[in-house]
Amino acid sequence: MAFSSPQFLIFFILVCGLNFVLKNSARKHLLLIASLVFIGWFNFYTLGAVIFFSGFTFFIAGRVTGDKGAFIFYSGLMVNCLAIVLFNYLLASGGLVIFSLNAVDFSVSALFLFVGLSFYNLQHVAYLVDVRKKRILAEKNFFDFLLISSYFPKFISGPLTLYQQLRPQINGPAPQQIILVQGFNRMLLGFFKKMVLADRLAPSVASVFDYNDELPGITVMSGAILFTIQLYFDFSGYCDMAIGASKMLGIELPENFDFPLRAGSVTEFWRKWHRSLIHFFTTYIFYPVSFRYRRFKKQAAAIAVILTFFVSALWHGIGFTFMMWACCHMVYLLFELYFGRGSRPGKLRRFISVALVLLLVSFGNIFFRSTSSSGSMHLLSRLFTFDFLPENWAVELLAPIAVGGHQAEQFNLAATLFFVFFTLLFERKIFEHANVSKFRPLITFLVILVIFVFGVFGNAQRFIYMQF
Amino acid sequence: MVFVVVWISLLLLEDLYDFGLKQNQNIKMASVKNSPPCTDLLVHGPCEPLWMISPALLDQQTGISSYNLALSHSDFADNYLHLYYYLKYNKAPKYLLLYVTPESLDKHYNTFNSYRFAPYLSDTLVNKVVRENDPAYFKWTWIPFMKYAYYNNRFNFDVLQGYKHYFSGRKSAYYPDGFEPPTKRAWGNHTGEFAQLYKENTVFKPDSLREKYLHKTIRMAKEKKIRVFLYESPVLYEALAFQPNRDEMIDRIKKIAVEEQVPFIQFEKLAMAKEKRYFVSTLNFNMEGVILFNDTLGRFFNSVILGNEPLSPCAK
Repeated sequence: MAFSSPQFLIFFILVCGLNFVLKNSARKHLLLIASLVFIGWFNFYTLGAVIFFSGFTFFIAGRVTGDKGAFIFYSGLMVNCLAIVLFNYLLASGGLVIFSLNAVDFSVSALFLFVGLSFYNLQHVAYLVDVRKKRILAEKNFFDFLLISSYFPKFISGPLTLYQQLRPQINGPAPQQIILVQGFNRMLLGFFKKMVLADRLAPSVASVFDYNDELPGITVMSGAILFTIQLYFDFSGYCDMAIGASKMLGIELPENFDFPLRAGSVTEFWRKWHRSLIHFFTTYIFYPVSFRYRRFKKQAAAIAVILTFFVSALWHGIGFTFMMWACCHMVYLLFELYFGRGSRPGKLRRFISVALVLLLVSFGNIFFRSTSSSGSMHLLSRLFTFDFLPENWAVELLAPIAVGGHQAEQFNLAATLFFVFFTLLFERKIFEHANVSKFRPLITFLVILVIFVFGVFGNAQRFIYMQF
Repeated sequence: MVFVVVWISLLLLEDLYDFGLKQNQNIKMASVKNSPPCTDLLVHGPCEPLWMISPALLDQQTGISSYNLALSHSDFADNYLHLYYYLKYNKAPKYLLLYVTPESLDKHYNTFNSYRFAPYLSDTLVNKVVRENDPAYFKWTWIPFMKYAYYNNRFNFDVLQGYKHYFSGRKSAYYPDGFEPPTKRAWGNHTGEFAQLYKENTVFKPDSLREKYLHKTIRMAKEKKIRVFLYESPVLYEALAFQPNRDEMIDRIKKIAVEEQVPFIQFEKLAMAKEKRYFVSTLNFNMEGVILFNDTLGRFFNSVILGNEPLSPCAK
């Protein structure tokens, strides 16, 4: 049951309606049942795994404090981390074609055996560490813990939510009408990003990455930039839907993006991209490591960066491509750490920096997007050849990016790029106006209309981050 | 309030799309209705006849008037509805040349393109066939505009082009006789393509729905007293080795032809099938191949079919 599926819409309208009319104590039960149904809809293996890991983590969390708890604590960490590694190994060894162009049948695909488990177990790791460090008290009610762990809007791909962020909210009151409207508009914006932007870019990206064609370098680089934009709209669209849906249920989830494609440095990019995961990595890896080796100053930060991205690569998946992606970012960040300047740049320099960061991140994403190490090497080899610029632009750049050379395909590409650049430029303003009552109905109306006219319905792509 | 406005807007938009698409002369469903071509011979099927049978070349040889109704990636249900719509607005031709090959009976090759029929869903037969062949699409068509939203990448440009044709008064298609010249393609790794097209250890699997609509298409034509010829154009000889149960499928087609009492003409043994220089893909010729094949086809028509039959009123 993906957020953009009709089944989810029916399910969500039911849950939202009941949540609005039920009393506080009953709402909690409703959300738990809804979450379990949502997970079970994918498959019962995932539901079983969720209940097992929740029970396991709940049980040991009460026993991890004090000197005697160290062994139990590390055992708990180990089990949850192993689950993530095992999950990634299963995906890697299963020959998963991650970016398939085919329409998705969520109900039968064995590839979704353990959907969302990387996010889920990471939250348990954070919970155990926080209980061990006595930042929070261990939960006493298993069903509350199960709800916090499995809460459906954030279950599949985050935002990664800490126990202490959700705990105070699950007993809160039903949302007011204005909150419902704001949540709905936020969901709508997510649908727009996913269906009109990300899914329309997907075929262009696939035609560069999936066929091992002898494309000129500029086509490969264009494909990589389009993938970076696709990934942003796909994932931030998912998060908008999750945050909006949760808001409509009366629970605020943390923001996950802060317009990262406007970052003027890679360091700034990582402050704005997938913030909940970065918050996890900085809190539980980067800060402890750099604090421990603080006497080495910059070298301590460098070690922390390397370790953080090493773990991040493992979390994303087992394989050469994710490790290379992480290495790219290690190099970028270490370069900025040692040679970066702190002065505030002027407008032109800022523009150049933003473009440069987009290029660097896109270069790294060649590894992130490639389905195999040989595929990524092939694309790199095309990037560093003498025929970087094509002889026939219409055939070697336009046709692959437009997925065909006909007028209709070029028109579709032009429409997609128009919406992409419009959104990149005015996303912040759209966000603001979507919450201002004067413009809200007009924006809602226009966004729905644009989704119907330009959104991808029949050949929808699954969310990219569902694989993690 | 917003939802009521959205609902009404979608209904209006649906009407605008209906109208625009029906005016687009480059869409065959629209062009056969708006400017009926007078035809003795109707060529039909998927991309192979579309890109390989040129009415202009054929007519030179035969002296009759032909029209190419074929559409790329179309299966028999798709062909069936196009033939139905053609016959609804035009005089029945004397002959129908329908392309059939092992791929035609396997649902992994070509498909039913529901989007081509979106403006015509109010027609009972079109509605029934679309529902049977694409239920995933059909079940959402009750929502206003959803019949276009579902495959909207296929429509937006065509609608605009339709309005352009309407306002400019255009009455003929970009390819007036329906034939689209084959793409200019440098074909290098052709054995790699065979391997991709006919995956290792896979065999053709006949699909009952395909067979059903092949029968229906033939019967519809015969009801209108049209002489039907099933045919298969040459297949690049090297590709045959990659098709393990090809002969079995050909036998199946022959059986259908016998059942329906129509001839099945195979051109696969032509000498040109061994010359890669005539092909742009396993089943499609380049223009050089098209000229040669149409010459053969024309001679075939002259000697075997037309004989001494009188020319029809459409003859040039």
